[in-house]
Amino acid sequence: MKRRYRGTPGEHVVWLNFKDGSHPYGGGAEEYMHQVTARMVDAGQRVTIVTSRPRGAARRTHVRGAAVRRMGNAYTVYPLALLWLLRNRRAIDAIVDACNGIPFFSPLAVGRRVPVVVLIHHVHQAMFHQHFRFPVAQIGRWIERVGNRVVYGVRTIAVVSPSSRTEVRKVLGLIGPVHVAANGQEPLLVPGATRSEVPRIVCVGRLAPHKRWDLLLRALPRIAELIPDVELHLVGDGPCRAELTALIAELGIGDRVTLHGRLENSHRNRLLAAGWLTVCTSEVEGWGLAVTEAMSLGVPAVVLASPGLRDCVRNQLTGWVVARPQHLAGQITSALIELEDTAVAALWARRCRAWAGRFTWDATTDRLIGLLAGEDARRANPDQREICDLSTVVDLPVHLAARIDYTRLSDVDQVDWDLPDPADAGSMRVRLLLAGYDECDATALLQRAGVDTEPPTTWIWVARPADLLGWKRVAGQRAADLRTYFKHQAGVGTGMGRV
Amino acid sequence: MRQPLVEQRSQLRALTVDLELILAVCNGEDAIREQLAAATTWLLALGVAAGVAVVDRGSSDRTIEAVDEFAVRTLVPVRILGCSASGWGAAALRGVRTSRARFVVFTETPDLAGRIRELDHAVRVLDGGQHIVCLGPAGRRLTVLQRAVAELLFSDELPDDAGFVPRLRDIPRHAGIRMAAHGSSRATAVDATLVRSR
Repeated sequence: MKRRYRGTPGEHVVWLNFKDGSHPYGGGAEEYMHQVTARMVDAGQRVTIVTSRPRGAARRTHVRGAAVRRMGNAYTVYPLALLWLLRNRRAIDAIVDACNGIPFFSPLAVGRRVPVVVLIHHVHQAMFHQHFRFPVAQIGRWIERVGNRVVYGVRTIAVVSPSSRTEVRKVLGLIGPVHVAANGQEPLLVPGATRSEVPRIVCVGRLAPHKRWDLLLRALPRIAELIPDVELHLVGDGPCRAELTALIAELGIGDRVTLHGRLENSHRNRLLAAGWLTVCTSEVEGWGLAVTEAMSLGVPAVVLASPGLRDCVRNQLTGWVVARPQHLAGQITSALIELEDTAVAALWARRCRAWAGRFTWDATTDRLIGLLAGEDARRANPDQREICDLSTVVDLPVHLAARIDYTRLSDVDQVDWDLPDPADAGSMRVRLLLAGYDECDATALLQRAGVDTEPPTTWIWVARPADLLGWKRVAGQRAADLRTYFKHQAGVGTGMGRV
Repeated sequence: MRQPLVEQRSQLRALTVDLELILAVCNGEDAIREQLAAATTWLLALGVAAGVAVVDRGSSDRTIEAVDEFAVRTLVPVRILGCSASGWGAAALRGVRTSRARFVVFTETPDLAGRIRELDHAVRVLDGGQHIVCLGPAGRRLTVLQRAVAELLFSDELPDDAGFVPRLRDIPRHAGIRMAAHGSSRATAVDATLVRSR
């Protein structure tokens, strides 16, 4: 079968998403879509976003270079999008089918002709019951679980965090290869920002039922017993606003809680940068974008150990992961007391910025393109290799990394490297994440490339969930420059690079 | 990227122990801590140096992290390695091939409470010249093998699960392998011993 997509300029990618950024309920998934599609357009690809059409929105428009086709409402967008795909199937090279509970079932329209990657931010099984009644909730749950499995089969699934991967396997039982394509984020800059004088908690997120802001509001009176001047700022809007306003009145905490609604970005960032702490009480998230954004401004987080959130916080390093909601008040109180010391707070801020800095939209886009190219390669030449969630990390010095031909690796493998040390460039180390490989497979691969696999020169270990995050580049056809770069760095280290 | 501790890296190279319990797991995040606790508590009481090898068969959950967390808190050496080949047998073979122990153990129930005397007995039988000792009925089977013999047998035929009984075939490669099967028809007594000397 002929290859259709290699991630090169001119190829046409269709992104199916229930909402777009202009939708009143647009959130993290839409931000993800627009950030990635804008970079695909910058890379010379043609991108079409197919989405629903809220009242008053234009049917056709362009967002950061990507064509947007809006059609139907929250329900009718699915059949209309299928018809659109059917009509345009010959002009499509790859599809990102975002599953917001209900997927678009794009393979029904394009069959095996076009590579389809299913993008799942998080599993919605629990949310159907929060938003719908019987029998719609049951139907939704069935479609997400069974429909997904039947229609997408062994097609590649992209998730935004290791927790989402677990959910996709355990709850939905999907059988295709699952890869993590974590959210990136724009570096947030707030020049001249100063920390608030009083202990301030700043939270950003939709006022939606699954966010469980009520847990935080109910914890606040207990926090205020030890920290009387604590204040809470909630940025965001949503269907729970009236309910939360009533709860604030009922708890008598109106003097210390401010519901800001949606704020313009610069205003929001300034408010966030002045916070001591951010809190996320969501029951389920694909990825805590609001949390990592706060971290990029040096604000640590207290989060519930829910899927997605526990991935974006390194417990005790960039924040605190709380196992149970009843521990929230105690943990927030002790965190605020710890952060009272400005020197300690500065340490936390440094660690938070370093961790958040690993997540860039460029890396996310590279990963998505790699997954589409990898899926196309599987479609064109199905390999007999079994689907396995195991990955292996190889950590090797740059002079050995320069021996590897990265174009021979798979498009789903990833590469990361240290920043070159000007004093000793040869000490730079390179890491590979080999998807579907165990240590023996990785050792065999390296030995074929003539790489010494003995410690302490090279380290090989099975990837832990945290190892799946924060990679710079994907390997495969588009990684031809990596070998040259590593050769140069190795040459600089031995003095040969200057010759 | 998080840099793992040295002992978490390249755990294909096992520590030298006399006996290694091999656990092949997949998506066992919820149970693995209890299983390891149940196993290691009793392994410490054994008269020989014992360790545990956890072979991950491609978990999508946090099984490996759970093993890491347990490994730093126990006196028994615990190593974790992966196996991308499908099937319990392939994972068992990976565990055997990478082990440095004299004997390897497979058990259907990692809780070794009350079975440490059986295990101790098996080790003494193996020291006495047997190559394989099978203890207990199906569902509670405990099989202890000399590592080299396990590798040979598994290379010929991969077992399906931890309740396997090694099959000695009438072929030159299996000549000289001696197996002691200690079956029990009553819960408390070992009432039959079959020794096949070849």
